[in-house]
Amino acid sequence: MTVLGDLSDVEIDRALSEDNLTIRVGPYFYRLQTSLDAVKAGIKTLYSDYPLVEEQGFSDFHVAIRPPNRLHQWRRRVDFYIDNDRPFNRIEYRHAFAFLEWGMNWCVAQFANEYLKLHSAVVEKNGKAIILPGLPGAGKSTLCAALSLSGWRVLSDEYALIPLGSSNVVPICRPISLKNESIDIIKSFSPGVVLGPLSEETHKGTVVHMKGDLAEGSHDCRPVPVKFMIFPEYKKGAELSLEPRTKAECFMFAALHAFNYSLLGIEGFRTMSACMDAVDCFGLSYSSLDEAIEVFDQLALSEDSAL
Amino acid sequence: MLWHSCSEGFFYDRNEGLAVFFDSASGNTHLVDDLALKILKILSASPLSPEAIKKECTDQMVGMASHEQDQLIEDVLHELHSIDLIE
Repeated sequence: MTVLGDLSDVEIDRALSEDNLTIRVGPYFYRLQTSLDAVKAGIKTLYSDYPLVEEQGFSDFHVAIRPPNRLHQWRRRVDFYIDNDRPFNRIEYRHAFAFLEWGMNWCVAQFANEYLKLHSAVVEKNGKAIILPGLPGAGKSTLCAALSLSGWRVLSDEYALIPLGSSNVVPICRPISLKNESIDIIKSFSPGVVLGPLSEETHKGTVVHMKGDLAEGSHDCRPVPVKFMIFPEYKKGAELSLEPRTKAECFMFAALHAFNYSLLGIEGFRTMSACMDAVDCFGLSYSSLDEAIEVFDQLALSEDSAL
Repeated sequence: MLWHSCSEGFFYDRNEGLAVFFDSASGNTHLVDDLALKILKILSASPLSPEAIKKECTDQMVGMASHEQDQLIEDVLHELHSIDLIE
């Protein structure tokens, strides 16, 4: 398998400029185009291990970041394109790489309805996938990042892609989005962490993306069975606690925060039911990443439904 | 007066005291407690009067006085009606 990092910097720059670079991200082909140096640098840093699609043909998402015209070039603003559509307002050049990441996530959120898409991180160890739903600010990305730096495979930082009628998750490993305080927390947790370009003063605050495909098999997109659903909540100073939750409550939370549960109608309900039957559900309060990771390691070693 | 369910519904019920109900008419999903679940299930089988519903649901209201049971049934029926699950 050829990966992006097998190409030289010059070859990557040329392919990106000439709209001739396609990578596989989970089950999807993304064709990427940009002439912006900051975006090229971010792609080279964070996507170096992504499989390269060598034959240019069909791509699921054909995306680009580029300045709109001379005037806006002067004003240092850029556009995100999918095909030749521009679904968002222009954004400042200094946020261009974050814009690409948000746009790439949006493509899946908007179009990939062959799966039930839960809004959650998903990690895997010992063949057991754990879904981590959570409201923004609950700390799921921070925990996901720390897990990825501790031997866990990240299946996704953003979605659980569940094939309809199944209780499996299809991996779609992407860079992990870190915001504000989480950035320094993860830098302290692992000083060698690989980060892309920093975007300050975005609508989400300071944002940086972390290389998430650290584990062996990160780009294997075969489905993985789901065994646990954990609702993480970071609470400063809190003692670690892992409390069982009812499947019905967790069903509702996950369904209501899914990207397309309602759109799928009865198929969404049936898929959600199959998924909930396969998992044990817990709420996890934590203030120490090390303690939280210990809990996850125990879950990975446990017998199915033995807790 | 007989109450009946508005549409075919689907349940996710694992005997936890709470269940999920999918209303196929609206596509909405609801979290319901044991009593609401019981009422939805019996009304999906056949229309019933409030008195008959109360009789079917006595197991869910153990220890309550009769007038409290009447009030509870009335409240739950009202709530299910307000979200168009029964009429």
